[in-house]
Amino acid sequence: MNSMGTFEGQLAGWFDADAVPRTEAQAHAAVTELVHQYSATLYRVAYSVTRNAGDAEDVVQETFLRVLRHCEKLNELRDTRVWLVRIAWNLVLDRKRRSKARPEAEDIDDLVRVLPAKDRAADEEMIATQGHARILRLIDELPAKEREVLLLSAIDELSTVEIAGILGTTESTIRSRIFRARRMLGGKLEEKAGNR
Amino acid sequence: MNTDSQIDAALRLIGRAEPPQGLERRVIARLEAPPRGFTAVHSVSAIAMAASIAIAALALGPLAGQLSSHHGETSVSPIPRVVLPPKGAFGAASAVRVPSSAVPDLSVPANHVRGRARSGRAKVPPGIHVARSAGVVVPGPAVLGSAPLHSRSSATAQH
Repeated sequence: MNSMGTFEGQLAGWFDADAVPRTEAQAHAAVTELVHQYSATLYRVAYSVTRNAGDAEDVVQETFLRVLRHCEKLNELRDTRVWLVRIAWNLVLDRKRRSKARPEAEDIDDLVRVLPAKDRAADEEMIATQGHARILRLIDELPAKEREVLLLSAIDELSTVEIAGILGTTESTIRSRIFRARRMLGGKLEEKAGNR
Repeated sequence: MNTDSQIDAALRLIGRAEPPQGLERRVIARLEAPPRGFTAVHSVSAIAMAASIAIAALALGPLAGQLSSHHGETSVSPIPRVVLPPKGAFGAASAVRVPSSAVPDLSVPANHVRGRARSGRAKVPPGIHVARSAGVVVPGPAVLGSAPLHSRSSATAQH
């Protein structure tokens, strides 16, 4: 059985064996500090999959709730950011799998809202957003391994080494998957452009 | 704009997505909220509900027993019930009609039915002997008229 799916499986290998457990108040304060530090990163990770602000926020909340449940082990963590992203990533993939039955709606308004503000006219903005939405739809058509690596590589805060840690593979595998994903996506884009 | 720059722009869009305002505040508020698990209040209410169900079961127990025993009698009774139809009315399809006087047995053996043979000729059940009269059978007076046959023939002879 794959232990990666469970929270205990996600905890395995992430702690120092001789770390001293802290009190509940200390743990609570530590989790609050983690919220301030990493909630934006976790939100982006979740949003890359859900493309929905509400769902992404739910994933962030659930991630920190899980952390709080296992707060006694918090000071034993070696790499907090990778561990948190890993929990959020598994949660968001679970959520995605569960909601696969219902049709996904393209939420252009949501994309417009998260788009970094630029000095562009509204119509240019809309055209750009529609183009991005089209590319994101094509990313969703990629095979799972390539798609996941490409989405995580989009998060600025995450390095290739960290993505390898999150997905439990090597850095070279991540690099080759990113290369393959971009080539496949480029092919799809050119194919779509040729059909017009 | 080539495909690589298009892909980069789209990935930047999701990589730099701005979290909604107040995300941190909401997450912390959720963390500080009491857990939604099985608390002491839930325990007390569950015990109270279980107790009320038990009391209701005790109070309704005898009544439920009576109901179930009545139901059992009707369902397992070995004696078939005979329902007589009301006078001058039709009974139900399942009702058994009891005749008031003896009824002669008119049943005919299944292989001795009356009717026609395959050849088309009428069949007479065995055991019934019909005396055949000699000569031609003459229709009765109802068919030929009021006058007897012999008187007609004599009248014709006189003409």
